Amino acid sequence: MKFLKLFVVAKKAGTVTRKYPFEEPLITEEFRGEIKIDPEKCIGCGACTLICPPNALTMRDEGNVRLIRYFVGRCIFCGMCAEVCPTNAIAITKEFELATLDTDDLLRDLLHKRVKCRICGRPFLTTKLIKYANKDIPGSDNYADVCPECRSKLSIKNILKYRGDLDV
Amino acid sequence: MLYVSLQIAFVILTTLIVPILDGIERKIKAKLHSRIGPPILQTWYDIRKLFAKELVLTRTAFPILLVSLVMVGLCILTLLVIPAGSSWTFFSSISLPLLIVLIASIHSLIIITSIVSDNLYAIIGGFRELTIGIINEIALIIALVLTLINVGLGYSGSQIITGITGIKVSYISAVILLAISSYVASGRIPFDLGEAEPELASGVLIELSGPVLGTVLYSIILKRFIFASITALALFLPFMRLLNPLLAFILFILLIIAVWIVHAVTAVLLGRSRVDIATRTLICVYIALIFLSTIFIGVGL
Amino acid sequence: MKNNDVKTLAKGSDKAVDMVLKLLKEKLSKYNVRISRAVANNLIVDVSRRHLRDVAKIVHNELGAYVRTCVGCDERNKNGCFAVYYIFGLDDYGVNVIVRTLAPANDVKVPSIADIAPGADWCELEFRDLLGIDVTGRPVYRLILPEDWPDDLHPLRKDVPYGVRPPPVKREGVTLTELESPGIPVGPYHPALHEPEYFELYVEGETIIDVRYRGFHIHRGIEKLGESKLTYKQIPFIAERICGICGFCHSTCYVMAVEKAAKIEVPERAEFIRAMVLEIERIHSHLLWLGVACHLLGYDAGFMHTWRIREAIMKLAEYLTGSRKTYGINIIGGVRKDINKEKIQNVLRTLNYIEREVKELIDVMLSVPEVKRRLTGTGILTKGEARKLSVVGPVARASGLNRDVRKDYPYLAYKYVSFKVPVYTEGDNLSRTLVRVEEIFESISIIRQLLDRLPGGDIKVEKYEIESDKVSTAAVEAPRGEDIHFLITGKGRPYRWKVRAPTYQNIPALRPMLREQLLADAPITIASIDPCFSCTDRVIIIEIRNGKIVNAKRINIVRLSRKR
Repeated sequence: MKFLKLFVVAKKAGTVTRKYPFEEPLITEEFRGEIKIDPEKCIGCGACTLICPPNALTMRDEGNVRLIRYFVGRCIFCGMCAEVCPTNAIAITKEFELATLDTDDLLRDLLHKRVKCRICGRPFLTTKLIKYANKDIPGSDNYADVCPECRSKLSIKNILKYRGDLDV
Repeated sequence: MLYVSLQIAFVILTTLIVPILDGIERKIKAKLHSRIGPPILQTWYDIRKLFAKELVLTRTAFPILLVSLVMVGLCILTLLVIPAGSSWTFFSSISLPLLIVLIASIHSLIIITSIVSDNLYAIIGGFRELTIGIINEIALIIALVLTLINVGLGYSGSQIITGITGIKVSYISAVILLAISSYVASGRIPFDLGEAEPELASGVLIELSGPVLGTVLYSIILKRFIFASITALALFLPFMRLLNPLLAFILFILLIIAVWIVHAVTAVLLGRSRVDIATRTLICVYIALIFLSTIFIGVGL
Repeated sequence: MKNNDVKTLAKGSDKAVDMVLKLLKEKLSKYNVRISRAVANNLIVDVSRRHLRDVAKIVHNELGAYVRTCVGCDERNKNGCFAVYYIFGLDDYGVNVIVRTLAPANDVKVPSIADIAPGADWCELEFRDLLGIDVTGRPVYRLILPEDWPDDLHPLRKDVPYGVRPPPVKREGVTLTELESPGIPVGPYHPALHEPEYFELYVEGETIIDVRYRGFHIHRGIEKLGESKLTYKQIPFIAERICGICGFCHSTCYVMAVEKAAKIEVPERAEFIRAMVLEIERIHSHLLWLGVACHLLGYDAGFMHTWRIREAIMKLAEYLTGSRKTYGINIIGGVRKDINKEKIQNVLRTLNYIEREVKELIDVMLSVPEVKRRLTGTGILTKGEARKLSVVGPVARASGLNRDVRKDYPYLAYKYVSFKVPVYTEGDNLSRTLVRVEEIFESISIIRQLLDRLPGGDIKVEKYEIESDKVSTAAVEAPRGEDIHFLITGKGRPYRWKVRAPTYQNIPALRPMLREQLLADAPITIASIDPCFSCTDRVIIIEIRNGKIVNAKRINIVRLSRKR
């Protein structure tokens, strides 16, 4: 007859379900939802795209711009991108009601301007990334707007000039 | 005239409120589960949704549709026979045997639905239902006969109502037998072996969809109502003549609803039985009760 | 070797490894073997194919080891051979004996040891399917790959690119002979089962005579992904998604294997936090299982109320880690999220609530007559069968085998807490239920002890280096049993990563359990091993086309089209 104690159990528990979406959902303050990249702070380094396990964050260089694309459809909401971002540009929101009928709604793009190499004219890194690097490395202004191939050629030329082995 | 209109009102009212009673059952179940549960009109919404789907008449669905329509018809006939208020309106002299025949036919139609289907799960469910059904039918018929013998005299409807000789001990044991066998017949847990959803992928109902499923579900709910009303009848019969017809009618319906709620709560408290355990338990219980009742009658209690 | 020495031995310690080394040298002296130490508590025994069976017999029968798993690996670009590793575990010492044998690329076969050690039965078929290593001396059939996969394409070989999609091969339909009794298919889509798997039950009336299992419907290519597309740091997240219920065990097991291989010293606070979250996951999984078992028995009230209690654990997990499931806090070198005083208070409050509620609910649940009667005496697995098939987890403990990875191969912070391992001897469904219920209470006590002794300090190690070519294993006691990961490190990503989930080891135990049972008990018996098929199936997504004709009636035809 002990199974009749179900009445007691049910009465003590009350009603625990919620009429979501007509009531608030149950989320705690630690919940990880969609991420938001702050365009002001982002420097386009791509650290987040390297760490992202499902490749929801991807980076592509095209012409004069660097595109950082966040595809919510693949995101696993792990928050690793927020941890590795050097400028804390990524914030983890509590947004999880992301369903939509059109996958294009799930793409969030961030475009950065790229700097053109002063010597060969090809674009390489983003303006902001170069400014960020220059902050901590003094004396790099000479090479700041030169792309890596030209930079190595230029620095060898400069070394040879300094040693007097090159007549310029 | 009053009796005729009350009986017809009984039938119409039943056909309308039976899904609402099912909705109340689901709400009670939900409250015992600590959740909100579906709205009370949910069963009507479900039936409406099912009837809105396309009717696919496959080789096996067509006979099932016919059979379930016949079953609904038989249920309605049975409702005409069960006295609501204080008179056996239409089939007075053969009311008890008619009741027995109708109930047995309803049961066998349910089993036919499952055997007609090709699907292995439906066949297994049907055979399990048959096993329990046979034992239960016998007990139900004996209980019906015993209760009506007890209240007055067997057969004729009018004599039953007029000849109240007081409540006897044998009546009580017969009513208990009737209550148990009509609960088992209503096909709820622990005896819903025919349509055990997690075990048999919905057993008997597996091949049905759309309007056919809607009809079958409706007939199942009607069947439950009939069995609840049989129990209510046995409980109410001694007092029926003492009240005026309209009051008796209302009280009778309230009593049926009360019995339905008791059935609903019992179904939530127990788990599903297994075909061999169930048959063994039922046989023991029924034999004991029939034995007791016969002894009480013999002794004159 | 005196018994006292074994009893007081610290399992898995260097001393234990030395003892086993000495023992092996003594017993295997007449076979030309080379015994070397691998990482931590692993010993590698290199043996030629000629002596493989003899060595296996000695290790399995005389030393009483049990088969944990066996792994095939394509090492052609290292030494021109295919390697097969058989991992035997010695519970008394906490040491793994890995027997390795090589098969050169022009003669890819190894003798079978499935008759000596039945626990290796499926693993051998697996490396035959996935790597093309032929196994001689036993009946072979396709286990993992579907019937319409081409014969000569073996996905886990290094020269097969990830993402290959060969066109399906047409084969003739299988016509079975007329059977006296029809087979009843349970699956692949059935309400009793939460993931697709396929059991064919051969019945006579209501009694089951035989069972045939055909699984691996949802292979996902995780091992291949780990070896070709992901890096070390990204794998913990995918390992977590091997299973929805025991995901954290998989990710912990993987990072432990890497940390052992790279000799990374994980800070103690991280070990405590990992152990605590593992126990939280165990409580959650057992509550879930209790609900499912009640639902299968028709007692929905039990189902709803256990899941109501489980909701408290989910909320706690979200508060601690940021996500209700797939916590994502494991990284190589430690954990990502710390725990503070407020969180500790929350944990203790929730544990008190759960303890109270579960005690009351189990009382009610087991007193429902139908539940008790249907669980008692059904699905019996005897101790002898359990030992032969090397079952793990609550299934083993309910059949009298005292086997628990937390005690036998201690890891993380379990050496600092004391707890009991519940063992029952009847081996029926009710014992498996009671083992799980007791484990809930033990887990609650473990978490309380862990929180009591939580040390301060860092929660992760930032700098580390992972060398290549190290063989490492790690095992964790998941709620369903022992979960073991085998790892050979490579550059930037693992060279070979094998996951053996507990259900893989437990499914073969269903055959003896289901024989001579009533059909009505089949779903609850199948559910009582707590099957988690996401863990069991691990390769590329393929749908099968399976046509069977029995008595001119199509009992089960599953026709799914392949997505391109």
